[in-house]
Parts: sequence; structure tokens; C-alpha cells
Amino acid sequence: MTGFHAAFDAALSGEIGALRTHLRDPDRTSDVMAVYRNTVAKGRIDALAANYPTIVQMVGEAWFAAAASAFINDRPGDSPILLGYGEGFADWLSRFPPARAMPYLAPCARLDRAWTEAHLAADTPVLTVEAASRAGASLAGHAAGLHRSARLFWFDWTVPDLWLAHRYPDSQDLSVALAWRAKTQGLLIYRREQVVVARRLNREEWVFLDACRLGRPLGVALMAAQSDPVQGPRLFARLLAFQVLAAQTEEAES
Amino acid sequence: MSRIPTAGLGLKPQHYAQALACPAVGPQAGLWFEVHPENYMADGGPRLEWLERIRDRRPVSLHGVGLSLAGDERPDRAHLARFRALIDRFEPFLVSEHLAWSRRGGVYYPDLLPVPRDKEMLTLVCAHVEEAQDHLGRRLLIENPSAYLPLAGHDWDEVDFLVEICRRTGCGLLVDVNNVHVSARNMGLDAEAWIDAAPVDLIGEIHLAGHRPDPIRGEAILIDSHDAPVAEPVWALFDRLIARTGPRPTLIERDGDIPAFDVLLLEQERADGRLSERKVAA
Repeated sequence: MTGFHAAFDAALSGEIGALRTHLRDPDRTSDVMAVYRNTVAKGRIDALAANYPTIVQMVGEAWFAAAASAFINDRPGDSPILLGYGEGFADWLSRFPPARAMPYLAPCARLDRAWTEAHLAADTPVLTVEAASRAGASLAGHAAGLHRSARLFWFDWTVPDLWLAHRYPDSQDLSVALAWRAKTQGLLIYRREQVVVARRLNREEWVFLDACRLGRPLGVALMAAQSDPVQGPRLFARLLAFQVLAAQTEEAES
Repeated sequence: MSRIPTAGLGLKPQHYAQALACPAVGPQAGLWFEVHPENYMADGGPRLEWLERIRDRRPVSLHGVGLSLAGDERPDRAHLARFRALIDRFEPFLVSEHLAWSRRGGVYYPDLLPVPRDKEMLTLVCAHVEEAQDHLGRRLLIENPSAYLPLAGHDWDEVDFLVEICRRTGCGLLVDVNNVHVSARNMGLDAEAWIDAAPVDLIGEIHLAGHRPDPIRGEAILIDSHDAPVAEPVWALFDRLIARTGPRPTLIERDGDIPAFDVLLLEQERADGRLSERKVAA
């Protein structure tokens, strides 16, 4: 190669010297390269903002753009599929000094990321009430697992309150004052009938679903969550209605 | 040549419902939609389902932005495989990409970057176009990019370079009329001469989009921003082009400051009207 791509690549990073030999008007290099640099940066920042809308709402566009500018330098991305751009942004935010005063940002970014992953996850069948009825007692030995889109969270702080108020404002009781405080809260984010939904979880629901996620048989998962012989079936019926448990495979059914 | 010489729209997620509801008779009878395949490269989910429903009702074309055909690295095999899967699933009536690069050394640049039109680049681009066509199982249409930087070392002008790529690889051309206008303004060239030299038989699709002056440098540099209505000088170039080509599938592109679906339909109807006039004239 003549080195053009390497020279242009370097110029995108601000090193314009090598590109000058490839230009008709080298004096304009810096001026015009800014157009390309701006377009590249805007493409990445817009993609990050689209995938972390809660963070944009919380910090405002100017703060977000400044943080995003630092993030895209660290992790410019290797894929043209910008739908998934920004993996690792939550961990990055947790180490970003200007975000230290906002400890809720990184966990809320994790939930935004979970929303994106749920949105793009594979279509897989869920265990229906009818299938569960047909299976009867044998279901207890079935390691259902969760739908591919499901993401489970358990927090010691009011992350779900804050995130839900921003991401699903129409379905939240916003008359309750939002506060960042210590309080255990569980959350499930998953896709149901092609719509990404978020459900608050109590402890027993979270324990049951987490055991399912780990591949435990349904009976074992249920025992882990609820030992009461009356409450156990009620818990199972409630979670079955979520449509988040994976369907039995043919192999398991046979 | 495409059997759908009408006007289409770039499909945006916020317009899915209106796009589905658009009646198949009347002014939008010939409406078709174009999407970037990269926006549908998901394992599953609603995007693919929406596109499937659209595809059941309207022709769809795929316009790639990530193959980096003018890059100094071979097209990414995994990306080609994902692109092929979408082609097999949605059976687009057109498949297109750009004379540009966007990937190098494990980094993707969300832009369409330029190259000098020299002998070495011609060989490289042709190899990449052939590889892409082989993997995708389809003839590609290659789009002329917007230019901002006057490069040295061109052995061909843009039209001749594109024609040579087509001749060597069997691909066709997607003429982005807005890019012709933007590049001509930025490079000090004659846009009408570009249009008059464009090879009629190779043109499989036309794009129309909006542009804006650079926010810092003003009118000295036009940006192919896709965030404004199609400008009147671009409509004039479009008229000039289809006077030569006759009707061709023509897309209204809009990627920023996206207006209501009905507003975009007005531009689509305007393009469709011009194409119909050419059909009658032919």
C-alpha cells in the first residue's frame, strides 16, 4: 500500500503530518480533517446516547457528551453494528472521576445496557401455562432456564426506583419522592411479546429466577425461594405468568 | 435493471406503524423502503419482526455502511455472513454499499472515509467488491461518497473510476445526487458535468438527501448531513439525471432531525412524480 490509509488513520487521531503528502492543498489538512473527526465522534456519541438514554436524562446532554468523548477515546468500538455500541460503559463510568458524586450512574447504565441486550436477544420460546399444565409433576425436574433476553438484578440501593422513573415514567408512581438511599430492590428486564419490560422483584421471586438462570431444576429453584407448601405453588404460578421461563426443549420433554 | 422504478423512503423505527399502515393503492402504491442492514444485525427481537412485516407489504432494499470496501483490509467475513443472512431472509430488491472505508486495525469509524482513485486503489476495491459479491450472492450497487478533502494522486475522475470498478467486477452504481452536489461544491467541480457523464446503463438506484453548511466553516464546506429536506439544486440535478436514465428506484434519505412520516412522504411523492413523468415521456 502507498500508506494512505495509515496516514489518514493517524490524521483522525490528530497526527496529520503523514497525510500531507496525499493532499492537493496540505495547508487545509487540519481544517478539513476536523470535519471527518467530528463526524466520527458524533457517530459514536450519538450511538452511545441512544443506548444509554437514562444516563443522558440524568446528567444532561452537555455532561453526557463530555463523558462520552472520553469513553469513545478509550473504546472507539470495532463493529459497524452501532446498535450494540457501548458495552462496558457502566464499568467505565464507575471509574470516571467526574461521576464519583453520582454513585447511581454506573448501576443505572448497567440497566440501560440490559435493556439493549434484551431488545436484541434471540427469539426463544417461553414456558406457557398450558405447557406447564401438560407437564404436570414432571416439571419439577425440568431445568427451565430463562428466556435469552432476561437480565436479573438485585441492588442494595434504590437503583430500580431511579431507573424506572426515567425509563418507564408512565408506569411509575412519580408522586413518591425519588431518593438515592439504601434499600434492597430487585429488578427483571426482559422481552415479552417483543416488548422490553421491567418488573420489580421481591426477594423470593429473585431467588427463584436466579436459581433458574443458574440451571437449577424448577423444583429446586422453588424450594430455594419458598419452602412453604402453600406459598410455593403461588409463587411459581405468578412467575410462570411473567413469560420469562424458557420452554422445555424437545429432548427434555421426551 | 430494477423492476421498481419508483420512489422509496429510508425506514426509521419511529415510523414503523405509519409505514405498515400506508395504503398499497393511491399515491404511495409504488412506495418501497430502504434500511441499513447494520441496524438489523440482531440475534432476534422486534426490529427483525418489524422489518419482516414491512417486507410482507413492500419491497425492501439493503444499503450497507460497514463493509469498508475501499479499506486496506479485506471485508470482515463475520460481517459479510450477517449481511448474507439478512439478504436470505428479506430478499431485498437492491443491495448497495459505498466507495469508502470505515474499518482499520480493529477500529470501526462511523463515517465513509475517502481514498485516492489510483491504480493500486482500483485493484484493491475491485478485489473487495468481488469478494463481497461472492459472499453475499448478489450484485452490489456502489455509491459515490461525499468528498471534503482534495486528495492528490488521482488517476481517474470519480465517474471514470466508478465505471472501471463496474466493468471489472460486474457491480452497478448507486448515484447519490446530494453527494454529487456536496462533493462538487467542496472540491470546486462541476456537478452538472458529473451528472452528464454518469453511465446510464450502470445506474441501478438514485439517492436524494439533504445537506447543511459546516457549523464552523459555514458555506465553505457542505456536509452530507441527511438532516434536512432535499435542496433545490439537488432536485435540479435529479431532474437532469433522470432525463438521461429514465425512471430508476429513487430513495429519500433522512437520518437526522427526522420529521413526521407524512412530511417525508411529501418528498417521496415529489420524487415519484418526477419519475412518473419520465415514465410517460419514455
